[in-house]
Amino acid sequence: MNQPPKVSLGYIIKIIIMLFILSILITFSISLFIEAEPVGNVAEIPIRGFIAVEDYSGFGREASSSEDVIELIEKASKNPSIKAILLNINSGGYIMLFKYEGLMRGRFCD
Amino acid sequence: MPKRGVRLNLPKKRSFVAPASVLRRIAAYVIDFLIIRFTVLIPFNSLLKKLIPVHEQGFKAITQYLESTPGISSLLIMISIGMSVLIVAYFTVFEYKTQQTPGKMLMKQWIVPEKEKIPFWNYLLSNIPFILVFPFFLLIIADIIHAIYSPKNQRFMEKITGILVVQKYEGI
Repeated sequence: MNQPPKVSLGYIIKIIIMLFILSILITFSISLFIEAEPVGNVAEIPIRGFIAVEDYSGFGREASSSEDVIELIEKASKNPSIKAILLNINSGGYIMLFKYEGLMRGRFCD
Repeated sequence: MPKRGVRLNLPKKRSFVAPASVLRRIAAYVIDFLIIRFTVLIPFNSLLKKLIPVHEQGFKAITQYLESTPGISSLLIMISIGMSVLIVAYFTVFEYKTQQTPGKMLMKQWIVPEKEKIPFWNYLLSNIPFILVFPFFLLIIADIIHAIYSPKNQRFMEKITGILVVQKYEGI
């Protein structure tokens, strides 16, 4: 009682190794659940009104800059947590401009 | 060769065993948690990286990711339970088998029963506050307050389970 119990270093290492093995087993069991339950996000990019190449704010019309849209798409495609990109477009006459820029830059995600 | 000096009949250095000081106990826990972090919990690093791919993008990105990812909370609770099992096992096994943990060994502390022999379940019960899941971790607050105001510097759960952590003090 008046002296601390004597414990060898080998015994301490043995216990830590046992706990480490237990840790691997627990981690492996949890990782099975993670693989069974895939997680991911959808990035929604709203595009409204007239689509301009650069910032456009003329005649009080709602407009979206294609530069900004491309930047958002690039940002979303670089984010590993985002599994899909949803373009919510409410605009007329955008298709050619958008496709053209996307194809030329070749930066869209898979 | 004749012996030099005169033998003085001074009293021997006296030592006594008393409850370990709060500061030394905190130091022991810091050492223990460092050992746990860098040995026992290493396999959890890859698991958390896999679960939170934005972990390097800062606190805000992590918070946004957790808020917007359905189903992640149940997996995080599962991980917390897994980690808690290991932390509790670390303290319980070491204390039951050796009456010390590596942190306590370095701080020259050990466990003695307050009244009678301590059964295994008491060791386990005293480490329940290390379960990182609500409501168990609230016991840590009770533990800390009790340790500060207790004359024996006991945690609340140690008081309940009859565990006393002592250290050797050197006197004149």
